[in-house]
Amino acid sequence: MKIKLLTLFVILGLVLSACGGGSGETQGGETAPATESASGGESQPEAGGGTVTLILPEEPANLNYFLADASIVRQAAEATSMTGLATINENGDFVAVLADGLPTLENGGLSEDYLTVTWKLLPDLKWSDGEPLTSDDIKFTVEVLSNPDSGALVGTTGFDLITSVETPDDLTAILTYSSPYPGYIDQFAYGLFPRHATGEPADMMNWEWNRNPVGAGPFIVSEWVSGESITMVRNPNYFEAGKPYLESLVFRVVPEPAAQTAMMLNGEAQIHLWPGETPDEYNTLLKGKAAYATVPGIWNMAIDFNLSAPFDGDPTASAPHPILGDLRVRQAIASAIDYDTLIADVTDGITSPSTNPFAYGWYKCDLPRPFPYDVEKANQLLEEAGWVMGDDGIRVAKGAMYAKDGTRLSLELQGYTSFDPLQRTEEFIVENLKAVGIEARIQNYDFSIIFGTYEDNSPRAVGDFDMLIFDRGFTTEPQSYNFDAYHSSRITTAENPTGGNYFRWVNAEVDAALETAGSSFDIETRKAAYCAVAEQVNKDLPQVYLYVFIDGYGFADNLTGYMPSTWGSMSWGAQNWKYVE
Amino acid sequence: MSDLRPSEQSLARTVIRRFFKHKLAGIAVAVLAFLVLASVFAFLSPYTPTGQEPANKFQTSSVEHWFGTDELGRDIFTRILYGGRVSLAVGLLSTFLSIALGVVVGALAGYFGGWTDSILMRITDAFLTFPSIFVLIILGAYLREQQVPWLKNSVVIVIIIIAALSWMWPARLVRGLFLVLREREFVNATRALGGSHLRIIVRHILPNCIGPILVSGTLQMASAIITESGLSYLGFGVQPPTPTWGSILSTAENQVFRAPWIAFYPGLMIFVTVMAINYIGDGLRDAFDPYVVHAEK
Repeated sequence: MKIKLLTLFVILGLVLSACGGGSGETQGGETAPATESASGGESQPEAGGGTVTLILPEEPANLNYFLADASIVRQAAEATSMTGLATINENGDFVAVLADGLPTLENGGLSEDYLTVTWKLLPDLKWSDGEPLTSDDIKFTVEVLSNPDSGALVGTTGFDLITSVETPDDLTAILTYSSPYPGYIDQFAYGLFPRHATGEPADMMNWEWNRNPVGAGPFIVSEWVSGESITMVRNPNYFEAGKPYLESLVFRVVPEPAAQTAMMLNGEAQIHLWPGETPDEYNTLLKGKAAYATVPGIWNMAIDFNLSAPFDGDPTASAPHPILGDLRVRQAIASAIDYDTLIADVTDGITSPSTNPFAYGWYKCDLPRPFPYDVEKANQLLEEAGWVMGDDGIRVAKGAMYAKDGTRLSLELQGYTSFDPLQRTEEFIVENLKAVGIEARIQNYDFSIIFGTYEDNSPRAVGDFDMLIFDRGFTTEPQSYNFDAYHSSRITTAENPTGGNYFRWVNAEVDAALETAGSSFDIETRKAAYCAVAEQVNKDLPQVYLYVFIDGYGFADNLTGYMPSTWGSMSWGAQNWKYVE
Repeated sequence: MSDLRPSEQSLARTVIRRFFKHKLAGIAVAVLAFLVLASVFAFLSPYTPTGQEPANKFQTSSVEHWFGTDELGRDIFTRILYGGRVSLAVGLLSTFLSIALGVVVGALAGYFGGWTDSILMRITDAFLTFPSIFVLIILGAYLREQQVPWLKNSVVIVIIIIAALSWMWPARLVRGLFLVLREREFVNATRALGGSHLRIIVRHILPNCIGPILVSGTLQMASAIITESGLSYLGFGVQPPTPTWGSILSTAENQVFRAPWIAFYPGLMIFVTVMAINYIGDGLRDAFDPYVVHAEK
């Protein structure tokens, strides 16, 4: 899920906001070609100083990654509060940050039974307020993230498995797990909490720290003007000597895509998240001032089917969906989509094809499209499934598996609003489906409704939908997301309101594969298990995968050290940025 | 005796004559009629509003595509024609409804004063102070739970919502006008002659308010057309791919560096419509203004 560009609408004197935006394109091999460009605004074009202005499409609610329901928080938080024991570098590998090496079996940091992990801190670490950063802060971080009342929305997986943290000295933390947890490094890659500058774990939602964090990152918040900007200055206690090079960062909140590009054009900003233009247009428009860089993104777009009858009060698949309950209809939908045109023309080359949930990372699974574009086959499947062409070009049931005769082949397609590429995709698919006699009705809701909770009566959670379309992404540790999405025990019900199996899909092979992937430390075993899940997804078709977004960043030519990463946000690696001399 | 009271028919004739004497008002009526007819007969276009040719996206004006094509290679001219159906209906009807409601509330409050005024104005204030976004979110949640799909996406609901959120301005305006006018001599005279409240309100005070009401109405109309596109962001209102001027405009916003002309056409249509309504309002004011009628006699 990602919140992107914000569009404002003046409605009767009130401002309604919603979220949407753009994304980037193709391989960004092009490095900054010219240095003559003027830098304007408050920036100074000299190495070892200066201010970089970054454009955020939307204001983050806080700078606490763990309270973030939207990826926009991380875009700014990564510069200040998200420096932890490890991080994922641009190649997708874990590297130690505050830790003195990563705990592994070889160096004894991970015990033979996988149940004990020993972290060693670098010596003389300090928080941004000058207080020492010790192993007790690791202990405190575990206390917070394992507390079910903390209100943490992300990054808590695995913390409930930690049964004890011992701190024999200030540099050593020994963590004991109740069962082996393969994601033991990833857990500490998103920052630590200082015990002395936060508050009670159960009170995390109300910490002042959330908006003015004391962290170990390269920058410290110095000013936050709501709705306008967040200013950060150099952290004098940053652990890497001589870094960060820059004096300060300014995150400017600018919702309108055109205004963002204009800022880059005028040299008022140096880093631009998700430009609305295609790379070619961007590079032509901003020639000599800024260039477009891309990295493979993690946001994987798919259509999800509801296998259960909607509105029947029974969220399980025991009463099948009258139309989508028949596999042949789902296969027909998959065959009706013109994937090539969708990727090349409709989404403007800001996407690359994806055929299954595991489209990137070490767990990438290369599978062919289960049902390539084939209108004839789609029509044939629908005929077989008992759907005959009606007078108005939409099929009606005549001997269908679950639907009563005379039922129109009409389905609702739910997405979220204000995200241009998503809406274009929806409109294109509606036309594709119309061509084979399926009526799809677009119903877009605000982000907060589509991704709302069971208690909020979110259509997705309560099973009140036919088809959903949205992009989902996961990090280098995919277990929690996928277990939640595909395991049959995770079907969303009143008793299990946080379950993420919205398809109401039950597949014993998938359950077994997910359990294997979650308990093994062998990367090949895990990879094979995830690939087995992907194969079942493409066989049962609870969803149809379309494409993965390519993340795009515009950055000023006079800036160096900027390294966009699939696994990081726009401010990842801010300590390495500097102006060209 | 009969000379002293002009017949109803001659009054209507006078109004029509005065209206068309305002040349721009006459042209405005023709323009508006043209826009309405164009959207009604939109099906004559060789393209459909949702028909796509992604390979032909972002084309500029040509013989095949008069207004060019949009991000999915759809004919913008055809989409503008179809979009007019929703936008004109929403613009005209919601403004009419909002003015009608506002006039009734404002007239009653302003004319009767006292308790009636207090109660009606407190209700108006309540509507004004309650942020409309919350009303919309609650309404959206309510409509979603009703699970009646045609209800949340129907144009009728959109019209009612926009009217319900905007009648307060004409109500306050009309109340203010009534407060002043009810103390005037001609009102006292009618009252002394035994004229009923209804007759005084409708025949004597209201005609004096038409000018300001129409002006505020024309202003409301443009915002209603834009509001319509905003409503779909909250999950009701017209959903894509059905075109409306507001939705074409808001998608075009993101393409200004790439295809600036896409934003131009829906903007032009909204501008022309609002100008036409404005001039029609102007003409109507001239036609109804009792002072002008008297001066001519």
